[in-house]
Amino acid sequence: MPIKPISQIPKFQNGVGAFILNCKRIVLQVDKAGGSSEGLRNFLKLRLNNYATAHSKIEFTVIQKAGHPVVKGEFINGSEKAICVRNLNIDNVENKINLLRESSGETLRKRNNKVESINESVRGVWSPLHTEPSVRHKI
Amino acid sequence: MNSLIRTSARKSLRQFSTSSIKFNSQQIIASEEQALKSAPLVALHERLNLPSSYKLGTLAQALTCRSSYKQELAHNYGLNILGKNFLTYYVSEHILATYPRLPLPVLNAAVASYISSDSLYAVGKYAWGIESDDTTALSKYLNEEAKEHSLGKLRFLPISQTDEAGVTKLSSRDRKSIHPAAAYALGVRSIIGGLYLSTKSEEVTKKFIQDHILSRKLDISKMFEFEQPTRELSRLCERQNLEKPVARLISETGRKSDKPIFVMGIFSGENKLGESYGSSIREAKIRASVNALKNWYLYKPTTVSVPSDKDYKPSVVDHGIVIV
Amino acid sequence: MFFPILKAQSTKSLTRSVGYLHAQPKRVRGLVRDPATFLQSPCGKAYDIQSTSSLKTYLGEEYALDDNLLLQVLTHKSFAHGMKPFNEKLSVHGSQFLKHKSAIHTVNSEKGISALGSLESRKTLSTDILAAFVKQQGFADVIYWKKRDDSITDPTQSGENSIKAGVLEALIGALLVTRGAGVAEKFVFEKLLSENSKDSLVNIVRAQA
Repeated sequence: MPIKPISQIPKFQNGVGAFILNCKRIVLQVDKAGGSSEGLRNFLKLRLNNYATAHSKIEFTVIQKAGHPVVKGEFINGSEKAICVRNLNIDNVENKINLLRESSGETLRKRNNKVESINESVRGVWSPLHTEPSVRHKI
Repeated sequence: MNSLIRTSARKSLRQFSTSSIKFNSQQIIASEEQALKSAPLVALHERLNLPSSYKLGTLAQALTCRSSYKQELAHNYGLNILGKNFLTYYVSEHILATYPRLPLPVLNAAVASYISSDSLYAVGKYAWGIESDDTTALSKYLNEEAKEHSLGKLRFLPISQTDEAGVTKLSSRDRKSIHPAAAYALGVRSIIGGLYLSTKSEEVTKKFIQDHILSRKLDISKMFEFEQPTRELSRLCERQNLEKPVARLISETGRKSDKPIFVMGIFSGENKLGESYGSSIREAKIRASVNALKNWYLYKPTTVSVPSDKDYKPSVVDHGIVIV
Repeated sequence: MFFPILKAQSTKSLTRSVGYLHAQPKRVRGLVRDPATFLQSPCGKAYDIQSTSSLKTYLGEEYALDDNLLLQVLTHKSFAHGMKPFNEKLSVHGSQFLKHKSAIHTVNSEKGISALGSLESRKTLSTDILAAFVKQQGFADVIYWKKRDDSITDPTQSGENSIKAGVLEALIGALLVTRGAGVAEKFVFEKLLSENSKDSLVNIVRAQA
């Protein structure tokens, strides 16, 4: 055969076409009686119902376990992020949950370029061999 | 505080046992009431922005493979075929309309890139976040997990991958067990099939496929491998009644040095067909031929419309691949 | 990389002419054959735009297609070493469209989704049934292709059936590509999948059973 195909797997670009919320599940781990869990307990009592209704794309799970309270986010790319919310009040707990909800699930890393793109440059790469021969640099 | 404690009714162990698989001829689709109790199922429905006419029971059916232990639930065999037909048609229609002259082997490879099992596995697992139901019946019982909870997870019988070194398994593997990638592909195709079945609208299904399957980036220009590019190009010119292709040197540098660069162009009469570089004249010529062939095969109309569009404008009908 | 098209300085190029035409039945190595000897269908019909007339009458006004396209529909990749336009991609496109529409047809019929993947639905779109349809419509002898081996006469062995099926699929593909999905859908439902039409695929399956 004169032409052989080389197979590739397409790259997923969330938000081009459909956008899928990266956070799929938030696990709220709470202690029944511990003092450090008070903020999270209040959140569960007063706000969880409305919060879960407003963000129906996320599954909320409550686990009761002795120790400090933890909120854990699970993401579509398979990663997990856990935040300890001991001694935080109800507003700060909600902020931490918002943080998980808005996170992409990727590990944080330093970005060296202002723009990162998987597309080729539209302008092309400058070539010294295509300049006018009279002004071309001679070695 | 009562709300914190998970209160699920105690079920007898037998209900979760895998050994009591029943092969019922009448398979039921989970009722909405049952399905609503499965948080992952409801969340998946919301996450994919499925229309309200898409019943949760149908979504649960799409996630039940034939090999699942929940034999009483309807499985996704039919939905999978429907979804597969939709996917194959709309994906190849899209690629053909974008690149009308794409050779068939590359076209097939491009379609496979979008909808092969591995590709759909990536969609199901890492884009839609579908989880597989791989906790054992016993641990479900011990966790007091509600029976409906697993409706929102992909149910299939996985092939056991616990081969120990030096141990040969003599018993044949269960015929119904499938690879996770195949199971995820079944699930994704069935969700698309279920979308058509629920809405009975080809437009909605097409939009869904465009948004979720075709929106991923695939560079088709990197999928070619030519065996005899110069020969194929001269054959192409002969077929298209163009003048014979000739390679000409456009510029060069460092011919006598360690690292020379030559830029060659392929010309047919007065027209330049392609151009490329190389560290020898021969290499540059071959690269330029490949470039010329790609310019031909990857022709793209300025406005792309597919046949299923309402305002479809026909573009080029390709004569076919060059045979050398 | 894209660069503006340059005009070549000199357009002179050497041309070589070593072959000459001959119309002898015996092939001589190194000589160019007379095109008339190989530009014909296995039934002996010359490769000509006039030969599309039977297909043209079948399609009628409603599904009319360009003559050159019809000739392409009737030409297989094996014909004339691929130097004439052939139907390979049209038939792939048409085949996928046919499967897609047939699945929709089945789902929306009273049989419902459980009939998908059944033996009957698979048989309706099988190569043999599509070939039988083409044979019935009478444009089978103007199909241009080259037999792998002239001594094989069984149509399932010689590849004749799959070539005929390919022509029907290419016809759907050609309607799809030039006239849009609406016309192609009408063609598929009216001529191929309808129960009322006497010689539709569904009725061919029933007649064979």
